[in-house]
Amino acid sequence: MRRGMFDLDEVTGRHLDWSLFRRFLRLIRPYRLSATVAMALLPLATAARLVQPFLIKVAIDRYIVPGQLTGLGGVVLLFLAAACTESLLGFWQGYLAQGVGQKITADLRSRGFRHLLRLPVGYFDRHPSGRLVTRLTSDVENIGELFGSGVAAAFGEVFSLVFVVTAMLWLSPSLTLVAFALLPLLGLILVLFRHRMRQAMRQVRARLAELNGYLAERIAGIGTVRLFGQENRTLEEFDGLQEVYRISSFAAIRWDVFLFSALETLSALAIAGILWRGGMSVLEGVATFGTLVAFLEYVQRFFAPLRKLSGHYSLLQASNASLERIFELLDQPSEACGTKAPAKGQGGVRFEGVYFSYDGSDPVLSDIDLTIAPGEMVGLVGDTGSGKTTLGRLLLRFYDPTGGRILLDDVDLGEIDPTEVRRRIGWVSQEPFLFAGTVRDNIDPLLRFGDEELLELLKKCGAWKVVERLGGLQGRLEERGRNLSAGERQLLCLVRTLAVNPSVLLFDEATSRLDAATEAVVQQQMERLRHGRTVLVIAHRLRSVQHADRIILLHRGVIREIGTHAQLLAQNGLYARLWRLQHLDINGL
Amino acid sequence: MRRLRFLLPFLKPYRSILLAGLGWLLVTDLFGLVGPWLLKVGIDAVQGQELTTLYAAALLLVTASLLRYMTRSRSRHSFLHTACRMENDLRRDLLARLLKQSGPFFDRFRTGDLLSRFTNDIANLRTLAGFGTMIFGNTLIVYAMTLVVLLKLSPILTFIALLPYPLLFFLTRYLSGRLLKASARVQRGLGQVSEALEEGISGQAVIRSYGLRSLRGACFDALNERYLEDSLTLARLRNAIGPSMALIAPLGTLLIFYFGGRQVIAQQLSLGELVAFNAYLVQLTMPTLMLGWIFGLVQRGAASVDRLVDILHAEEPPEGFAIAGGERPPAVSLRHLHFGYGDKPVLRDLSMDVGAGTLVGIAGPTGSGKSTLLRLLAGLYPAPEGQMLIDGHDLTRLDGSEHRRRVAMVSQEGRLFSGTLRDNLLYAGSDESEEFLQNVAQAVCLDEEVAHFSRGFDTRVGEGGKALSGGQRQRVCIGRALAKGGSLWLLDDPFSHLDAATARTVWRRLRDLLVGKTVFLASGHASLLAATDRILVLDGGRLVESGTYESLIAQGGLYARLLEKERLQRELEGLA
Repeated sequence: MRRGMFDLDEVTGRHLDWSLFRRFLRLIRPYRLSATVAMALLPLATAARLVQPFLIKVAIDRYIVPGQLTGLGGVVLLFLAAACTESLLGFWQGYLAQGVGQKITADLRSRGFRHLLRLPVGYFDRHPSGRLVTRLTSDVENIGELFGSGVAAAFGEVFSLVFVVTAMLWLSPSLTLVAFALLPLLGLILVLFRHRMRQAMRQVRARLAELNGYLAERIAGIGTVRLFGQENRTLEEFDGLQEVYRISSFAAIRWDVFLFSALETLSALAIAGILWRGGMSVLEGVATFGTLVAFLEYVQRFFAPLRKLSGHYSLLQASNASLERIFELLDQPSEACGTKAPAKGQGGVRFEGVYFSYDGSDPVLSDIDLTIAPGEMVGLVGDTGSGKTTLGRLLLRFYDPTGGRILLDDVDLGEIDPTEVRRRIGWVSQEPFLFAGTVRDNIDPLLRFGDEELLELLKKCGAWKVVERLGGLQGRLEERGRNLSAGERQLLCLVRTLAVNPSVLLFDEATSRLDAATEAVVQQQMERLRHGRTVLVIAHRLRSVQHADRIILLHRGVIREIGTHAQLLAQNGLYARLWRLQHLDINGL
Repeated sequence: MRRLRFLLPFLKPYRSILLAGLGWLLVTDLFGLVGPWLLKVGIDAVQGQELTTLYAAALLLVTASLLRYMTRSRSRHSFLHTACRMENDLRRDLLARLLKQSGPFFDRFRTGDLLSRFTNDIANLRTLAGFGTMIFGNTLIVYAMTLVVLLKLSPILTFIALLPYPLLFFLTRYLSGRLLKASARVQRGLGQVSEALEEGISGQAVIRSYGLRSLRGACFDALNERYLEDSLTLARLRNAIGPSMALIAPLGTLLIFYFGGRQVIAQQLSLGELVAFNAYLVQLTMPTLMLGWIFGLVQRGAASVDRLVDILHAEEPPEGFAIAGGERPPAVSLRHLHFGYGDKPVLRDLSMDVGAGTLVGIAGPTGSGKSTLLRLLAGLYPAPEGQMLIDGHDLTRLDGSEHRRRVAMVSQEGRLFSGTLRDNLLYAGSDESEEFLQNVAQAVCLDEEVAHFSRGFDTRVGEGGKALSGGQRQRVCIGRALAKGGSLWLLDDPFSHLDAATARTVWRRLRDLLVGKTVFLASGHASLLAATDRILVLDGGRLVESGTYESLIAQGGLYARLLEKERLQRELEGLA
């Protein structure tokens, strides 16, 4: 909002975190050549700009005042050359600097994305996707700006300040003193009132936050406001908050206006001072006309960078927070990986005294002992919160058990590379997730099959009709596959799973979101395709596991009953009750 | 530009301040003109060896800059203050408009989206109205004045100095066309990259379980690479603008020093005039550069105006007839009520007559339309015409706020507002006694808990009431409705967060207080409805059963099954 204006809160507020900044500099390393050139061009461009007043001085002193026409053209040509050089160098420098920033951005984004996919699943439970996307877009973008508009530009301004001051001192030390005589006054004002200015800015922000907080609450609860007939009172309260905000805002404006006008005035006073002292010097023969004119030009060029510098500094500070967030993401430890890739087994699974808790205190699974023989179909049932989905996620090594161990083909899951574990376990989840792209990209992403084989597989799974409608293997799926129905998506996910030819199939509520007719189709396919594989079906609806070889009933993280459907009904325990309950069920859950 | 006319009515109340600001700006710029002229006088004085004139010029320069400080401050104050006031007015109008809207409006606009209009869009317009108008005004004034002075100093030199400016014009036009295209590409690229990111994050489990990490990584890199290329193109164009503008100013300087210098040598022009001429020319550079900034500001402002107009010009619900005798409990009739959100039907063909002072229970599984029916009765959503009658009057024709005055509603997820418990319980705004407050708290079984809070009723509930437990929050909502009172009570699962025992106690006490009122109680707990005069059972938006508790049990239909299910569920819970 007030870019380029004084934002003293930022200027005098939190200081730069140098360790973060050093890490940022390391990001530039791959582009150090461009970065160095961009930095090196800055002094050159500045020199080309600041030599112009000097050339004017030369033109006046040597040619215009003495009335010497020959040679003026040469100086003019030099001036033209300087102007063109400034412009060219400025373009080149700006492009290089921004280019370095953009490349850092692209690098960070690519690194960040790959790193994200390597993070343990638990990380995604704690961080909503929206926030992660923001980190890799806005935050990364801010960091890109940091080099071009922050570091390089600030360096440029500092350099031009130094150059201007040097040139002025070289031309005339005494006039320089006159020009800067009032500068300490500005410094004094800044030192004396810094605290109050910062306070004013802070207040505005706090009041605005208060205002927006009030708004957020009332908009979210607007039904309540209307039900209680409190519309007018709400407006009155809002007016009160707005008035307080306005008052603090006016205070901040006062400081803003004061600083801006003061700087302008100082520059004008400096010019008056130079005219007076410089004019005297010329009269006394101490200085030349050209010096006087050049000086007037230089003074104006001194105050401009001073104003810009404060803007750059606040940019540096704003990206501080972004740097912090990005490095926090990159520093997250990746998922643990095992080393072994045991020979392909039959798909036997064993849970040995497995305990698990998400937060370390509330147990989700306790003392799970379970052996699933190769080729067996096991149904895992239980109420919401019984821990059945967690059990499946442990098997996929999305999480590691807090206690006990899980064996896949007699090898501890913790020792196998997670990728290998997941290659052997085909997982069909409740949420059929498809990527935007072609059908082929989705069901055979690693390009392991020829078209013929895929067609055969699709037909075998009863999914060919869907694919045919989309236009064959090259048919387009929209984002998340939203041009398909839920059942069709689930069918394609099933095909995708089978294409990998896993020895264990894990169906996690795979049919729970489907309507009865689609569920029947999907279930029929599942039944046909399960032969020769170990199958674990996690289900809320008992009906869907009725025909399993064994049914495990989990209740509050503990295995309560094991047996076939008939055995469990005869036992007349928890399963039998659940069965009766679900038959009464009206929602059809 | 035309869309910005929207702001005019908001600026109108402050036009005298704005005009004053413009006046001060004019004076400021006039003083600005004096500067270079005094320089000319000074330098000519030096050349003519007139010391007193030099002193006078310097002194006048000091005076001018001090005066300028004052006028500049004044003009900036008026512009920035006006912008701030306009910002507040806009925000107030927006809120007032929102408070008049009913349910369907808020289905269209999410809270976050509305809030961003209150913050980002209003901030854009404030910048536009403050800095934007000020700098635009300044640019116009400076251009006009400087041109006049330049022409007066030397028409030929002016002509020469302004030669490069048409070049600037064509250059910016050429560049801005390409710039727009390039930035559209970059925007699209960013959108694609964000989508890919989002897809990767939401699909991380699938990516993991199919070993697609490197494949998705490569896909992402391809998009990222393309985005980088587009960004670099844009960077090249952006960086071309500044330097080409920067080239114009020295070109002007160069031309006038070459031609002007010859004139000085030929004694057609004084050196002071030449220096002053250059100083005036320099004054034009900044405004020229600022024009680009204003252009961007106007574009963003126009987009913001569109977003605000969406809300400010949203249709207002019509005013209805006044209600006589609102304090008497009303009779409610439904006549083939059909209702849906969008094209999804929620209530189908509901017909019933509920006499004044009846206590009606509404049962049914989740999604059967219970809450929707209550929302329609409360007037939060407009009911279809002629299908919902209160005391024989069509609800759509009654005045909404008067109708809501007689309604006391407790919704499933009641929202509290930050403030104290007292503020929330007495939200309806009555200055009631401590005793009244105590009674309300007691009725909803909150008194003991409040007694344990160190600050009692002055305990702060936090944003949305998050400092309280779900059960406490729900009881505050009931208490707040009790404190308000009403003749038509709509209770939408008001005990869902309470344990069974507390729920029963609160309901017993509440029932005693509501004797004689028309009450609708919807509940997911079928057993809570036992003590009602009549129970309506909804399924899939249809009325499937209706009758007294006993008759429904005898009937053995959906309600009886719901009761049985609850019984079994309780049993299961007891098992663990």
